[in-house]
Amino acid sequence: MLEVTAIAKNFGGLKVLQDVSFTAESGLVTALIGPNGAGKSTLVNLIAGALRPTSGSILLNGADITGLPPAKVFEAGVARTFQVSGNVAELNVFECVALAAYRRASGYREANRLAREQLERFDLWQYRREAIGDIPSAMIRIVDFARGMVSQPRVLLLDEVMAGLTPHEVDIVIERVRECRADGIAIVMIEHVMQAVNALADTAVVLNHGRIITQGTLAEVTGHPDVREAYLGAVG
Amino acid sequence: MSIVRGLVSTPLNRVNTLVVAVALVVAVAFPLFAEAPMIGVGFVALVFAMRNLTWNIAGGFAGLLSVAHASAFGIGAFSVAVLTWGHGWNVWLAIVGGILVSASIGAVLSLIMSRFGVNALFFTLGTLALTIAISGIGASWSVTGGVNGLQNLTMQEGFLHLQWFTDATPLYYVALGFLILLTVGVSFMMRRTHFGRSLPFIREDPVVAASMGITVVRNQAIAMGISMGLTAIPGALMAQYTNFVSYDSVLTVEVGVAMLVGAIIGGSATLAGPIVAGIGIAVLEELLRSFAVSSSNVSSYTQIAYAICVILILRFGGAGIVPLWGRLVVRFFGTGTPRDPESEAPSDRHAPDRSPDPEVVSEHA
Repeated sequence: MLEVTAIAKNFGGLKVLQDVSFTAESGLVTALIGPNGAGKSTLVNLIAGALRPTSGSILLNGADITGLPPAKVFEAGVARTFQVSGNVAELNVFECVALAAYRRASGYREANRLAREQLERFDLWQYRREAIGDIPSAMIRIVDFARGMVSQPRVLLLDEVMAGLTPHEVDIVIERVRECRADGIAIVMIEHVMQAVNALADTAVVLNHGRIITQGTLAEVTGHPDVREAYLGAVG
Repeated sequence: MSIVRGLVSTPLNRVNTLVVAVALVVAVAFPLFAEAPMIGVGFVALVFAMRNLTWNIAGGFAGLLSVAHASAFGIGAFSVAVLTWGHGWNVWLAIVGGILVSASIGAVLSLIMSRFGVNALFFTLGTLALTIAISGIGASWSVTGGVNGLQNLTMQEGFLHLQWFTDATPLYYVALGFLILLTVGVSFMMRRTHFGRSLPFIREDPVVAASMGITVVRNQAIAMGISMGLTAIPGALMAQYTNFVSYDSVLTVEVGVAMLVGAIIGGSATLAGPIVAGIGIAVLEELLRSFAVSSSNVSSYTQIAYAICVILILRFGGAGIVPLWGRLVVRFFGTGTPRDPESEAPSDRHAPDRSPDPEVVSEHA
């Protein structure tokens, strides 16, 4: 369970996030939604340790992980995907997944075994020897997802993992997310693809201008007037 | 069994296995049919190959383009000169001392650079500055002989003293042994250890690497430490070969640039590339000499040859000689399909990097 309490982040005088509090329960999918520039990615970066919050706290199963460096946050059990995986384009699919497997592997053979398990589970085994940049862009997302899952995280942060996938591929990944949810992982998902949000979100947190407008079930938040205003402009 | 299968699983692997086998045989047999001066050339080639290989741990795999390795090479040479020739230490102890000093400098340098969050360009400039500074110390400190350098006046010979005054052959075999050991060791590290496998990720994207549990700053420091520490070995061997060490023979920026350029020409993300380039450059220098180029001109002609190599590789090779070779072999022989892809263990199915011929674990002579 991930508890985010009263998080604020300023870049100089710019208040990117203010007083953000939400809880992502184990075994549930929490969708972070909101218009571009709402602060969703900043929030994910704060949780993953890539940025330090100006104030507030982040607890993982009761343990304080606020401000820990990314590697420590990963060790604690927070795995993440990236919106852009372009920089690692020259690296090999198998290595990508195997390296993340070291979180729960004691050595080389076990890491490779776990990586193989995940690659087969995601139907990626055929791509194992390819460079990330040489496989279809949809597959890169799934590699990213496999990379997150192989570490058996407590919290999985999915940063627009569905972007660029065909509806059919979105369905495949949705199935994977459901499996992980069933494993008891707390999943925090930034997503614009409504097909995925509708299918997966158990609860939704709506951000706009760095503040939480509302949170609750998807039905509750989509009916909220402030949410409609944030997305569609002033109503009435 | 899986290793054997990996050696022959694709046409590229088969060709490379053959090349490595032939290269090893040629390297071992070389002193038997070569004339004495050529054995010296062979030794220098092995030293070049070795220092390119050790540079490549930090420079190629971890992406830390360092010129500080010239200091490590020089420290290796001077540790032998000062401790063994000057103070009577056993040469092996002196080498270990040189390794430890170089490794410490590498690790501390990397930590300082990380502390100030310098980018890749400033990292290179910082390492350049360190080499210039240490070179300056070498040129002015009485312990290192100042501008006159240090001469080996000891008399003892043999393996224990790593010295054979009239015959380069034993030292050639020592260098070959070290090169093979280092190659196998680096190969093991890069493919089998968590640390080694993390280096390409640190090179390509430290942010992604950190999100996968890799302590980037620590691993960079370890990579620099190992890389610079091991670079002291070829430096020490060179000193034992020339029996004379001065700051301008072993501790100059040119030495650092030679390692950097050599590894990059060969293919810095590959294991074999730096070795191929090191031997190639030594052979090239020797050929230029045989074309009656006066010795004072050799280095400038070598520079021109370097430049031509770099231009050709940028034009045709991209990632270096070895990746180019891999592409050529694949073009002629195809990628081939492994006979039994499903039962093959993943352990022999991937390189730690984009190297198309991970199985080349030794030098091409």
